[in-house]
Amino acid sequence: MSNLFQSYLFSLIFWVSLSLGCFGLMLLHHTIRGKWGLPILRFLEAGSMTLVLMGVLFLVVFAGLPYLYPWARPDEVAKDPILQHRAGYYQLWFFAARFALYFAVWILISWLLIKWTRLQEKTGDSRYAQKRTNLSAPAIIAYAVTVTFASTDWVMSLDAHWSSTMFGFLYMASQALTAMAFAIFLLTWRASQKPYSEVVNPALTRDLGNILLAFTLLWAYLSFSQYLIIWSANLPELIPYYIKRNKGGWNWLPTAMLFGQFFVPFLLLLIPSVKAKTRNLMMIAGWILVWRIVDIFWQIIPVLRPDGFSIRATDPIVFLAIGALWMGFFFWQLKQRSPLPTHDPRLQEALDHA
Amino acid sequence: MSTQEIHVHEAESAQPRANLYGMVAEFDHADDLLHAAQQTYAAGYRKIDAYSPFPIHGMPEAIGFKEGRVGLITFLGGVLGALTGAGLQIYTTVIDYPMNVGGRPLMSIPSFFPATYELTILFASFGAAFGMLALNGLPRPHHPIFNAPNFDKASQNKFFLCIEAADPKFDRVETRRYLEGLHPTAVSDVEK
Amino acid sequence: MSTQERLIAGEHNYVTINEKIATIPLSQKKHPPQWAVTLLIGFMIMQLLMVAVTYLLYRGVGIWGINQPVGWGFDIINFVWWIGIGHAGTLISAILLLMRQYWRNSINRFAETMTLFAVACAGMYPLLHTGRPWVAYWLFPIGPNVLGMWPQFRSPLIWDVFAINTYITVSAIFWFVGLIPDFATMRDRARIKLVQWIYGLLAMGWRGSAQHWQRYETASLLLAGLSTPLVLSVHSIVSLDFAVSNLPGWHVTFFPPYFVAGAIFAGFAMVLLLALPIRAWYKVKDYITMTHVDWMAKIMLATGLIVFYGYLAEIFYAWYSGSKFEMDMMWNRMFGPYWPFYWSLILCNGLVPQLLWAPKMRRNIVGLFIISLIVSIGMWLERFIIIPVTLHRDFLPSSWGFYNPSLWDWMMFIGTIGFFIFGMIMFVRLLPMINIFEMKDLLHRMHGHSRNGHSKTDHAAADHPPADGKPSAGQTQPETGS
Repeated sequence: MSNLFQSYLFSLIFWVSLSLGCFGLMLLHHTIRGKWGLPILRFLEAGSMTLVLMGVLFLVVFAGLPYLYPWARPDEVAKDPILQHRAGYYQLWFFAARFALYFAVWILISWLLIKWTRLQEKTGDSRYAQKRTNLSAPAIIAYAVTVTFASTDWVMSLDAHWSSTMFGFLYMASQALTAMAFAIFLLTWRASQKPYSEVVNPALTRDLGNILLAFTLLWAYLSFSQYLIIWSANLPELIPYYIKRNKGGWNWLPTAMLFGQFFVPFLLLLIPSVKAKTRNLMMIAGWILVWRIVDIFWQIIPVLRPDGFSIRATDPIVFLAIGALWMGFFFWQLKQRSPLPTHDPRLQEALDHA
Repeated sequence: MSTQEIHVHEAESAQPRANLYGMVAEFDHADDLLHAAQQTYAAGYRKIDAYSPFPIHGMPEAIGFKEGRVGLITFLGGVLGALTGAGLQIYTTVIDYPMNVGGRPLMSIPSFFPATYELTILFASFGAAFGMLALNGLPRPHHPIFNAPNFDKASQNKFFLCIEAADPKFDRVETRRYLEGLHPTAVSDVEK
Repeated sequence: MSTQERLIAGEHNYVTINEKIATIPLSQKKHPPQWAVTLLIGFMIMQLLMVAVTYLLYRGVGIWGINQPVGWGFDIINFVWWIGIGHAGTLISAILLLMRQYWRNSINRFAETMTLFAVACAGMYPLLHTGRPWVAYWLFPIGPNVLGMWPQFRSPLIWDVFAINTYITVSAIFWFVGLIPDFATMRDRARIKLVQWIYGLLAMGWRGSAQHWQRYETASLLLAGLSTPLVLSVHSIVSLDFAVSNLPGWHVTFFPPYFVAGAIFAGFAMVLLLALPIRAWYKVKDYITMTHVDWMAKIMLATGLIVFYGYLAEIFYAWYSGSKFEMDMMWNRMFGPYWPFYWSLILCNGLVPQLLWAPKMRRNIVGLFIISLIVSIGMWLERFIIIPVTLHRDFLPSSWGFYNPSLWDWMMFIGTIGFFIFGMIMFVRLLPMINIFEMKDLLHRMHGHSRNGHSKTDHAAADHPPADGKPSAGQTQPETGS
């Protein structure tokens, strides 16, 4: 039973991260209105809508809280002054209320932005673009706050004593990296099909590749900073986070990630000719997505299985099951509308040229 | 240029002058220079160069100049910097003077990262800046092209195309006639 | 194209760009009286620095307010403050070049120069804080033959030595490389032999050849590409001076990105503080347009929000950690003896920048100037909160104390501001403050494609230089050659 919940939490966090990454990138796109965001906007919109599904799937976690979180195990709380200190914060109703609030905020903002894109496409009224910008800029603040608290609630609190101010920021960067890799993967995978073939060109893939590079660097910078600070100070409340994740067979994972998640994509994305070809970019994006899964696995599972490295059968099964639901919902959402947005004249120009 | 002048030059061309560096045509617009350069390259001239107050997009391609050595030197500088940084710290801390500091391992890779990183960037920047200057042959206070009339405007608002005398296709008369066909504002010889 | 068109306002061509920018350093009579007044003020304030440093070298760091338990005071606060201001300069120049944001062309030279003087101000502090600056070479790994030992590479302070030295070197190189083509323009426009000779020496024989431009542009892009991660690393390493320790209030994992954001925040405030008056005095409004001002205000807002996020995260996680020391530290900041500093910080850096959400505020010159001033003070307060306010309550109540900066601390701090003003105002007079060749490039990008339209009128203007201008086309003689 506990295996099942462990696998479930790991899978859920990965897929929620992907949904939230799509949501965050959509906000970013509507705020700065970069041209690069238009060809992948539909993916981001459909990805944001999967938050509805993820909110429902998350309810299962409530059944297994004591299997996962130390604060949900009364005997452990009774012995631990720090958990007692947080007991008020981690009452079940308050935890549930925060969960409801996060999803309500995310879904409401996604729904409004998507509605305004649709209305603009229908009516051609460019005031909706301004409306989206006006909502997105403050919505980024709402996103930052909710993701910080959500990552604290769902992931950070797996370790009874650990806390890190970097964690929320690191989660936002990881989500952006995951979603960017996912969107690039889809776009480059379908690059030869209409209508994508009409907008995908070397200038676009170079921009997207550079953004992927920037997020890869950001992820590495934040991860390394957090590690270096905690490793150097070596404080008893904080260092166990890394000790648990670096011993008993787990230690090869961070080393592998250093190369897999950082050095390989970093060096490849520096080369201009790699970014010019859709096939190359697709492989790099796919590679990054695989390492995102490994990273989430490494963050969540070692603390739950302290006896050493292990992958249980439930891990891939549950991961793929939730993934199948996610993909089903995503492609169903994607099919509802035209594959490329039609509201922005800049993309229309590209289509007309082709 | 009047026909009379051309006539005079034709007379001169009988005795080729060894001290000729090349011939320049002066233009008012960046785009005129770009078209002229493209045309000249297509006409078969190879030892040509364009002078402008700012970089013109597409000009290196127009004169058939392609080179990636600045990037290579920068990359090598970076590699050298990384090796220097890592080598320095490992040698001093692990090999030459091992010392226990706060119980940290001798080989404290996380601690060695920042200085290694800084030296990588420092050496790569040296590579970029000094590599660029060296490949350009700068500093070089005197160059024959400065003898071209009105060349002080090349850093201000005029654009010059130079066909060097070393070009196998260079001919005092032909080249001048050719340059004049490009409709420049002036064509002149440049002495060494 | 609509945003690009607002990057150069009014009617301009290559000649008027030469006139406007290159003439400022060449024609020494054209300077407004404000220049001399500012120079005088800067020079006088700089004398405070001279006196403070002279006495410091004579007596030692005991003349400062630092003592147990506050061993780091104004020296480190001002070091971090200045280095942060320097960072905005590099970022404006480098990141925006990489992102192909051509609006940077008019402010990058200014920003890079600001970096150099700010880093010079910053560098003085750790150097003088060592107590014996004449043996500062001990910081470098010169080897046991000289010193009997090596630097200790597990300490963030030695990382700082590498970071700051790399930073000032690379910034100077980037700045100088950017100036080479403009030195050539100055050389060719100067009419006094000595001035020609000086600019000629600096231009190193630049002749604007297409091959040279190609390598030059590659090198510029590479330097920009290297400067960007360098800036991020330098301020991250500065933040590690604090963060890798185990003091509550310093051991904060969010410090690296939060320091970087704070540096950009303060730096853009300083750019605006300097650029807004100079823009008005030298009438270069056509080059530093409202679009630039608006962009800078937006970046201030964005980085200010990251900084504010950092303040709030520190409060929440101090509570969340359940650590008594963390909670006491936060309580002491908010309600301890230094409480006015903390709440002023929240006001200056957290609340006041929210005014920038309003588009009208971002384009209000006076309002923006005041906000920038408030932000500069706020960022100084942030460093004050982090350093002495953390240190003054040690773990043992017997080692609690207060920090009182001495007169010499204040003199030195105010003196560095004088040095900075003096340096910047001299720069405005001696070097082209706006990148000439990049402005021409920008002009060409905007108008170049419609050759029969705009550039023909440019041509007409080129033949008839403005009446108030210096003689231009054809009137100066080539200086080099036979």
